[in-house]
Amino acid sequence: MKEFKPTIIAFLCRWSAYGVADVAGISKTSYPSNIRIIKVPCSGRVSPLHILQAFNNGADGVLIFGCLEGGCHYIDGNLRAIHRVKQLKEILNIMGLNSDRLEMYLVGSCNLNKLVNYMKEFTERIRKLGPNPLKLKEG
Amino acid sequence: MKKIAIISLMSDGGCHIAFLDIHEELLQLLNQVDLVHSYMTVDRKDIPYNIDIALIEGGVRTTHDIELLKEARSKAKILVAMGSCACFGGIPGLSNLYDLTSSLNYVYRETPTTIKGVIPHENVPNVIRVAPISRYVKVDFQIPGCPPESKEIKDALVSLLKGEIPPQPTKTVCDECKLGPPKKKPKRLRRIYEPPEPNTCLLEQGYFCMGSVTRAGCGAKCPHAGIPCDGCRGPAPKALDQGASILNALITLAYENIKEFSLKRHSAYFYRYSFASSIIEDLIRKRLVEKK
Amino acid sequence: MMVRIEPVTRIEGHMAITLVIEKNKVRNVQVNIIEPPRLFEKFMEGKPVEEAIRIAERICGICYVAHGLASVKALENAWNISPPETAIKLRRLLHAGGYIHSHMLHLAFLALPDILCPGEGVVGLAKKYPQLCKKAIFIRKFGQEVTEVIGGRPIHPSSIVPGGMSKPLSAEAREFLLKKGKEVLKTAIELVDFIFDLYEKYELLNVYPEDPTYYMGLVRNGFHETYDAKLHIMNPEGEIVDVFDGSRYVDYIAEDALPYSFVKHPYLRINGEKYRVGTLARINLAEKFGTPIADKYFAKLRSIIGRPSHNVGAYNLARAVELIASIEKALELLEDNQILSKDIRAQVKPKAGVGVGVVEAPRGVLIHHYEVDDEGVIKRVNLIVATQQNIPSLERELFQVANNLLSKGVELSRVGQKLETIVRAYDPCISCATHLVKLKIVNDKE
Repeated sequence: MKEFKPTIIAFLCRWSAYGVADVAGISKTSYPSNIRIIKVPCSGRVSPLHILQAFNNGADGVLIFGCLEGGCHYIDGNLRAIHRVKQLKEILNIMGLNSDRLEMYLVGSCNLNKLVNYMKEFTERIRKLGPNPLKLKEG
Repeated sequence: MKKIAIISLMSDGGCHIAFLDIHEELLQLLNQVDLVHSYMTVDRKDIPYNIDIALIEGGVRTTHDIELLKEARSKAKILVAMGSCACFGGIPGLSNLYDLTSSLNYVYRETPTTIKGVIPHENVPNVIRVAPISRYVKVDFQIPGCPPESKEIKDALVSLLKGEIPPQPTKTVCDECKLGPPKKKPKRLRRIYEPPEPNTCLLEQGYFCMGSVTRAGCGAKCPHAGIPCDGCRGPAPKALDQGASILNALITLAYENIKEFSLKRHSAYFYRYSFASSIIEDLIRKRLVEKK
Repeated sequence: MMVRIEPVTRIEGHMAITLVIEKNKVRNVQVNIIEPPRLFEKFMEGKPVEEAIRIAERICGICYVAHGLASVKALENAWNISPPETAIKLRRLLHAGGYIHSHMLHLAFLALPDILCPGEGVVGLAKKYPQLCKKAIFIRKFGQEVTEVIGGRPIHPSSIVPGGMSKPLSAEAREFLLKKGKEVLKTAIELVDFIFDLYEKYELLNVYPEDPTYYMGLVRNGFHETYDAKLHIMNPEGEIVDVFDGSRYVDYIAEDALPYSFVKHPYLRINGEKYRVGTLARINLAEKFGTPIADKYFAKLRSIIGRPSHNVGAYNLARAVELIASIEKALELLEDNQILSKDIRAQVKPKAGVGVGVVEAPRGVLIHHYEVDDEGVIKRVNLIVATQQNIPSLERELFQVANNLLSKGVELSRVGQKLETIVRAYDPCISCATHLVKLKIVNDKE
């Protein structure tokens, strides 16, 4: 049986997490290759539609990384993102998609290892959950 | 004379009435075109061939609707989705949030007045998920609204008869509304049983007003009457998914206040007319098909 | 053999008729309502009840005002709210606008073509009787203008709110409507005279079946009433046998679902009998309208049809009288200075409860029944819509008439046309009825 490699879409805020991930190349620590990174100006830029479309297009999991509380460059974009994620988890549950497939972490400009650990943990979580059931219906 | 047909599927007839609401102009129109099918006004029962413009009123709810729709598509040069049910599934789309079998059971067997209950199955078509007509046929043009403005229907017909594409509104109801735009964040959410302050944006006051994500063209009649827009004209040109867009905007404005989110409850605000064409409907349908 | 007439045209909604015919006798009639069932009674669950008003209006594209009013009344019943007097007057005015548009639509577009240009529909009527059409359109437009002014929109009004109405009537709008209404009344009188004359000239009442049934409707102290009163039941002999408050409707009305129709068949719980609602029922039940010109026509109608009348064709004459009454009522309300008051909205506080709202829609008794939780969110809905209450009698009449005609040797397609005109006399609103039939004359090879 082929091992399941989850496809994870990760939205990274350019003021924090993205900057951290960016140095991955130089620092010889790599983040998992199944994580597709999308740079956003703020975690608050991620709209419910983006998240739903990600699942609709077959993503197995969606991650959002934002700044620490009080640390958002746009004041409260990260807080809005937290609330959006909360609403969307409920929507996912109603649709029978496990709400654990969506997660948000406030990381700020943490060190790279911490970021990579979050990504690895999440990947493992998704691996256990299995592929996005919607993906099988393509075509 | 060019042939026009109005074919009705799952609908309340309101778009037919909106068409008749062109009043005196109806008589002129009937002299200029051949109205070959319209269940409310013309006796012809079958759908004739060589229709120039077919206006489809209503969405798809039964297998019979799909047959009628495909027949209309094959016999018409131009096919227009008229009204929010045809364009997006309309209010009946909300039914897709409930299990179909339980719904049929409740309505035909379990209401307080039902004595002998049975789910209809003889000489009646199969009931399926509500869908906009675009799920089953190619649609050449849309006139959304619940119902669309009478003038819009007439103007669209006149343009299409000339072989032109009718102009589409590019703005939102919010742009047409005298009360807006919102100047500050709402302090708390409000339901419409509370009267609003006059001359102040309803979204700003905390009502679930869909004006900012709804297509313009009605003059913002409802906000001007003191009631928040409920999105009956469907998504604005730039809002791909009406519900997701307003959810986005509301979180921006009032995230502390939507404490508990329930799709069944909040769909009454966010997806009242467009649930059947939303991305959530798409996701649910994929699951349903996958379950088999 | 089985014969199917599908669809029945020039009614609102999708209906077909199935007749099973053996040896030239009709053995069975099915009114198959194939109107797609949207199942409002289910998907309204979980919604905030004040949103039900605008959602429920979409049950019908013709009698949306009636649904909006029945909905808000059910809500106000559950929350113990009494709207201010002006709000009630505005609602009655809105209701009158709805009657004017709906009755004129039926009389001019759905009924008259059958008499004046059979088989040609409205297109034929517009070609052959353009002046008549212009008058009808003028009258119907007024109904829509009233709805737009009071309701905010001509179709699916938005100004009906818990506790009253969301916007008052301005002096300018009132002047406009009063002036126009007076002209409309004159035109309506001409039209109604024309209709009465047609009925006399073609002896149309002889063309329709007589079907002794029970009747149900609102009556207020003997007056014809469409907004608020107790429900009355009249037996076929013309006696009032029951009077009850709408909140107890479950004790009086029962329904059976059928395998062949998306509309359930209601009947009287007490004796299992069919009953009819709508214009004829209201005419049978009421003593007077209370407006002079309508009462004049009412007296004339009574002298023609008696009381009670069981003639299906009388539905249209009753409809014509109600049209006059609606215009007169609208003018009366507009002339009342209290209609301009700004006190139009009572305070509202949600609570758990059960509410029933009953109004007379143009086609008959309409009942909305809601159960709500302490947040005012709907837990359960039941609806009894006007047209479904007439379907059982309709089926019986179609059976009788089909047999009658066949035994006289009338050819099958003519029988079909005839059956359709009977259906039309009820002015059925099938979109409501599927919350609502298709006559299928099914022919198998002999």
